[in-house]
Amino acid sequence: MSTSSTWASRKLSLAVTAIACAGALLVIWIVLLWPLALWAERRADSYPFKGGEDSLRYLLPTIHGQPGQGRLLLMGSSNAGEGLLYETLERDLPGLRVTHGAVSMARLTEMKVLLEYIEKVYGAAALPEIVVLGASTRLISNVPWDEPSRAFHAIDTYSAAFKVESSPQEGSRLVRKTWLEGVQSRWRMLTKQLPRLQSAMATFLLDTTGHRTPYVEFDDRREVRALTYTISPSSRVAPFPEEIVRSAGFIWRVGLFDAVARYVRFRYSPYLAPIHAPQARKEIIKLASSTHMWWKDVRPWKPAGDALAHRELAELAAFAAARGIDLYVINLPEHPDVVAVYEGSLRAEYMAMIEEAFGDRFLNLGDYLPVEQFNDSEHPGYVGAVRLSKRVGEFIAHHRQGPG
Amino acid sequence: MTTSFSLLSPGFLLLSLTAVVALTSLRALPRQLAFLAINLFFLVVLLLEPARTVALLAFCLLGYLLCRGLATGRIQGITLPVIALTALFIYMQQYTFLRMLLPGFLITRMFAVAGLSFLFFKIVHVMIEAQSGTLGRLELLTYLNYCFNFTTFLMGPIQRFPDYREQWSGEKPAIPLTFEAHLDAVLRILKGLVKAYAIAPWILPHTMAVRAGVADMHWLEMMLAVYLFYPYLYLNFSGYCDVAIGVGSLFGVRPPENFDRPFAARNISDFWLRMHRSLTLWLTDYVFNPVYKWSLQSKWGRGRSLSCLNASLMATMLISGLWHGTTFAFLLFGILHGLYQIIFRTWDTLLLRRLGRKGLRELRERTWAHALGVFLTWNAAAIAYIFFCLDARQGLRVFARIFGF
Repeated sequence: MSTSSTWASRKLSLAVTAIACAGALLVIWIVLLWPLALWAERRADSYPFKGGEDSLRYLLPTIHGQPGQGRLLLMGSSNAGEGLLYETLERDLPGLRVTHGAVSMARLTEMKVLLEYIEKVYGAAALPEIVVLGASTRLISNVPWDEPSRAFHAIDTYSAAFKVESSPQEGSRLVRKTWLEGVQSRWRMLTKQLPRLQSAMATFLLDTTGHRTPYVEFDDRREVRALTYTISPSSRVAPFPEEIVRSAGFIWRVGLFDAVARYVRFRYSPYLAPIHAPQARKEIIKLASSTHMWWKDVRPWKPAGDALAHRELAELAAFAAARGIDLYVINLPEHPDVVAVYEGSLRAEYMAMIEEAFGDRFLNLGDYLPVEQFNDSEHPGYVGAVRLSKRVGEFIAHHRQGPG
Repeated sequence: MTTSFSLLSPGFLLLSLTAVVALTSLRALPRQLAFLAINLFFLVVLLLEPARTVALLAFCLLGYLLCRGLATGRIQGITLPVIALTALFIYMQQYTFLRMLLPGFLITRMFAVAGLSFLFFKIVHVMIEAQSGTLGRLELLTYLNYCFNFTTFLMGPIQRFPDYREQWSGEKPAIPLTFEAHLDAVLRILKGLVKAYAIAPWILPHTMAVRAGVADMHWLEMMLAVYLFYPYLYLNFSGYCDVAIGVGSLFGVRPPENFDRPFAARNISDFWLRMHRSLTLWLTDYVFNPVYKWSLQSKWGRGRSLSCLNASLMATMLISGLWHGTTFAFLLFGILHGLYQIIFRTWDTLLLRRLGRKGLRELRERTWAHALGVFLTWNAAAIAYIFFCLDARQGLRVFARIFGF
C-alpha cells in the first residue's frame, strides 16, 4: 500500500510538474506577446478577428477604449466596413484618428447598444467625437429578423461585464453580468486571443521590415488577391491555374518576402470584400428577386409602419446628442439592379425617415456608384470605395466647418 | 451526430487536467468511479446529447452481458453474439442499405453516435477474448472505463483490453516514472495540437474535403485536391492520437501508437501497418487470420494458398471499408484497398517465384525499387481516399477523370 501511495504521489508530482513547465512556457510566450498585441491594436491598423467575429473588436480596450476626443468611429454593417476606407478618411480629415468599427450583418438595434457598451465599459471619455453610421435599408429595418445578432452574441459570450437583454417593449439593453457569468466570459475570451497575438506578430514584423504601406494603397491588389487565393482557394476569382500563375509572377517580380508581407498586411486589415470574387451581374439580379435571402424581407419593408425602427433611430440620435457625439448617417450606395426591385415608394419613405431623424447630418449616396464600381450586390469595389470615402470625407469636413 | 467538439476547447483541456490530477492521486474504487464520472462528463457534456449517451450505454451494457456470458460459459459459441451485436451496430449506425430492407418508421439516426465504430470493435475484441478464456475476471467498472475512455473514445487508437487493464492496475507502467517521460507526454500533446490545429487547417482549404465540385475542376487542380487530402487526414488524425497518447500517458493509461510515418510506406501492406495501425492489427487478429485459416482448411482452399490469401485480404478490406463509414462510397474504399492488396500480394508471390527469397530481398533493397514502391503506395493511398472523402457518385467521376475513362 505504501509503495502504491509513493508511486501515486510521485506520478502526480511528475505529471503536474511537466504540465506546469509547459504551461509556464506558454504563459511566458503570451506575456511577451501581450504588450505587442496592445501596441499593434492601439496603432489602429491592426485588426484581429475577421468576418463573422469582427464584433469581438468592441471588447478590446486597445481599439475602443482609447480617448474619444479626436476619434472618428465608422459604424454600420459590412457594406460600411468595405465601402468606407478608414485610411482614406484619416488622410482626408486631418487631426482625426479613424477607427473601423463596422460589424458583419449589423442591425440598427445594435448601434446604440455598441455605443453604450463603449461608454459603460471604457468610460464616457472613450466615446468617439464623431460617429459615421453607414446605413442601408437592411440595417435600418433590422433584417434578418429571425437570426441572432452577432454583436450581441459576442457581448453575451465574451464580455466580462455585460450581456444584452432584448424585449419588444424595451428594445435591447445592456445588463450587468453576475460574477460567475463574468468569470465564464473571461475564460472564453482568453481562448480567443490567438488572432490578437498573430496580428501583433504580423504588425511587428511588417513594421520592423519597413512594410508600413496600408493595404488600400497597394498598387498590386490584384496580385495580393491572387496570392490570397493561392493560400485559400475558396476565394478564387479567376479559373485555375490563372491565379496561381499570377501569384508566381507576383512573387517573381517583388520577391517572396515582399509578396508575403503584402498578403499579411491584407490579412490583418479589417477588409474582406477585396478577396471575394466579383459577382456576375446576372447573379446580382437573381439575388435581388430571391425569395430565400434576407433581401425578400427588406424589399417589401414599410418604414412608416415600423415603430421599432423609428424609436431606435430617435434613441440613437438622442444618445449622440446627449453626449456631444457628432453623428453622421450616410445612406450607402446600392447596386442599381437591387434598387430596381424596391416596391413602390418605400425607398423614398426610408430616406425621408432617416432625414427626419438626422436632418443635415444625413447624406444620401444611395445612387452614387455605377454598376461597375460594385464588387457584388452590396459591397463597393476598390474604386467605388475610394470615391465613396472621399465623398464622405468632404461632407464631414464641410459640415464641421459650418456655413462660413 | 455530435455536438461540435474541439481538443482545444476549455472543457476538454480542463477535463484532461482533472483526469491527470484525480487518476494519479486516487486509488482503488474511488479512482474507478472518478474515471467513470470523467468519461461520462466527456460523453454527455462535451460530445453527445443525453439521449444518445443512453443508447450508447445500452449498447455497452449489452456487450458486457454477452462478454460475461461467454466468459462464464453460459453462452456457448461466439458466432451468434457477434452477429447480434453487429446487427445492432448496423442498425444504430443506420447503414445506407437499411433503407432498402426496413420500413420507413424504423429508419432513424437518433441512435447514431460518433465513436460507435471504435466502441463496437473494442467490445467484439473483449467478447472474443472472453470466449477464449484469456481475459480473466471482467469487472463492470473496468469494462465501462475501457469502453468509454475519453482519450480514445472518438477516434481511437483501439487499445486492447489486457493492455488497458495492466496499465490501469499499475502492473505495467504507462510511461517510465521520470520527469523526462512526463515532459515528453506533455510535448506530445502540444505536437498533436500543432498538427491538428495549426498545420492541418492550412492544408484543408486545398483538399477535396471542402472544395465544391471537385469532379468538374481543372485536372491539375482536381489532382491537387485529391493528393492533399491524404496529408490532411494524417495530420488531423495523428494529431488527435498524439493528444490521446499524451493525456493517457500522464494519467496512467497510454493508448498504443497508431501511426508510423505512413508516407514512407513501400507497399500497401506496409501502408496499413503504418496508418491507423491499431485498426490494422485488430482486423488482422479478428478478421484476416480466422478467414485465412478457415479458407486454407476448406475444401476449396486446399492447394490454393495465394487465392485464399487474396480472398481473405479482400474480406478484411471490405470490412475495413464498411467500418469506416455507412455509405456505398466506403464499400468502394474497401474494395479498392482489397484490390491493391491482391495486386501487391500476387506480384510479390510472382517475384518470389522468379527471383527467390534472396533475389527479392536484394531487389527491395535497391534505391530505385524503394522509391518506386513509396511513390506507388503514396498514389494508391491518395486515390483510394477519394471514396473516403466524397460520395460514391462524385468519387467515381473523379476516379474516371484521373484514369481518363
